[in-house]
Amino acid sequence: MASVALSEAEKVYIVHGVQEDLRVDGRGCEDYRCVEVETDVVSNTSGSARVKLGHTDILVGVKAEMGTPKLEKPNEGYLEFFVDCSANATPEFEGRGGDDLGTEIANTLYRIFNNKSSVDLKSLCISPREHCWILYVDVLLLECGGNLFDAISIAVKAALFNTRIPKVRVLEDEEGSKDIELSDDPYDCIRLSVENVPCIVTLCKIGYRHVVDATLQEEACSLASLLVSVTSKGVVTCMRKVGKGSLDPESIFEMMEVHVSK
Amino acid sequence: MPGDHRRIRGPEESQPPQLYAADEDEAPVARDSTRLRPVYARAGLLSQAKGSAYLEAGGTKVLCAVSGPRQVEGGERGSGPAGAGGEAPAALRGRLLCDFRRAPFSGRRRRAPPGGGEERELALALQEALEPAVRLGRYPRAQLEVSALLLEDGGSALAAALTAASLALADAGIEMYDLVVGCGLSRAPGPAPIWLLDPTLLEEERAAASLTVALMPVLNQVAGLLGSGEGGPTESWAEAVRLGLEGCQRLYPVLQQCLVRAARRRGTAAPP
Repeated sequence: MASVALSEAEKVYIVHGVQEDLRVDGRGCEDYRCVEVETDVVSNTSGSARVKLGHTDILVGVKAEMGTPKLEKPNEGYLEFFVDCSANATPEFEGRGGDDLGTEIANTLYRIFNNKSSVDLKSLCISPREHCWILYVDVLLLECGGNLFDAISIAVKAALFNTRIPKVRVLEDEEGSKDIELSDDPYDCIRLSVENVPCIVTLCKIGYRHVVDATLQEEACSLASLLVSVTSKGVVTCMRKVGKGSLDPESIFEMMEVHVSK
Repeated sequence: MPGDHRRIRGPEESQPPQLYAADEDEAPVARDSTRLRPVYARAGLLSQAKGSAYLEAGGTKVLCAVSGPRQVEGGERGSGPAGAGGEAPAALRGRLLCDFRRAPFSGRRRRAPPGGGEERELALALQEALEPAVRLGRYPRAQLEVSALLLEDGGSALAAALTAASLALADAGIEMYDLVVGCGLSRAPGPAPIWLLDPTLLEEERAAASLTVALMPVLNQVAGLLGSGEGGPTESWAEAVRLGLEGCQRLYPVLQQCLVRAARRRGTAAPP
């Protein structure tokens, strides 16, 4: 992730504050920063959203295109994720610097949506084995202020909620050749149900306690964090440890309790 | 092109015949959910690598090689924050580069070597799990390269690769705090949430959720955790993690014996 230069004294200050449940900006250990979510910000896409979480700014655009379904799953459409860390976020991302982080985030997103219950993929199928909807979800990191995964998952959920997929009919000719007809009314479209789309909660371990929604400075003090993606019903879809340190097993169980309560 | 007799052109895309085969229902055999498959581990088998290890667990065969420490020109790295504990500051710490590769014939379908996102993700998972164990502060401005090659995938490949990688690092004489032992788990679909330890390929393919845990046994610290799928509530994931940690502890004595044997072998083979 983007790193920030912290002196030893600042680190000690942050760590001691966290032990007392007091963070630099006055929050408790389990408080989120104020989130602003805006949908339908980009007009050329089928759906879009912008999320601002403190200094972190994420823009997600979803485009729906028609294509052929995968061979192993002929009755379903699928989602493709692409994450772009632009050089505006931090100077470290200039050139190819942000590619590694981008692939890591994209792989995590693939993992989260890899199960049957998150998004109803069967509704994205137009005709089995031939046509289906492919949703290209493109995430743009505009500004990096800590806690990227949480903000990205909120933005993806909001963008999928905002996505409008036009209704399409497949007509068969007498000779058997198929023709695709798009409905004329631009408002006649199907919307996806995002009830079961999970959100990521990242807990960073600082000293003996864990912290929700860490800023860049707090991330620099923590050696390891646990990332869990949870739906609103409490179903966990993905779990991952991030960072160079190791976690105590007891603290993992404690952290998972906190995740679900968030 | 008229009459190109030199090459026979086949179709552009090829698929394995299993796709068109009728669905034979091979149900996975019911078994004790906490059994670990017997493991064969051998360290110090490649002559060209500084350290190497081969691990076989059931049908999963992994070969891992370590090379380094090699000097790296890290000139442009700016002044990073100083590390704790008096070791080299973060800008001068060594780096661990991990590479995970699947042989093209390792799975049911042939996969050409640049395997795309999945191999990068697993390589990152390997790196994140091995970093807490290796004393990188003792290798300033140096780079350690760990490359894992999966010869055959018989289930819980990442766990086997983690174990083989830490054996290879120990065999290379790299300073470590502890070995890293990996264990895979999977949960069958259906209402009863039983987590199976060390799944076979068949169980993994039909799984609704899968999890890989990496533990440092002596220090009792979790070095890595990666899981996904419809796992159900948190309690079932917590139970799965506990089961995985137990499995890792049970595997540890086998690895210790393997390293002792390799050291003895090296002792007798070295010219006096």
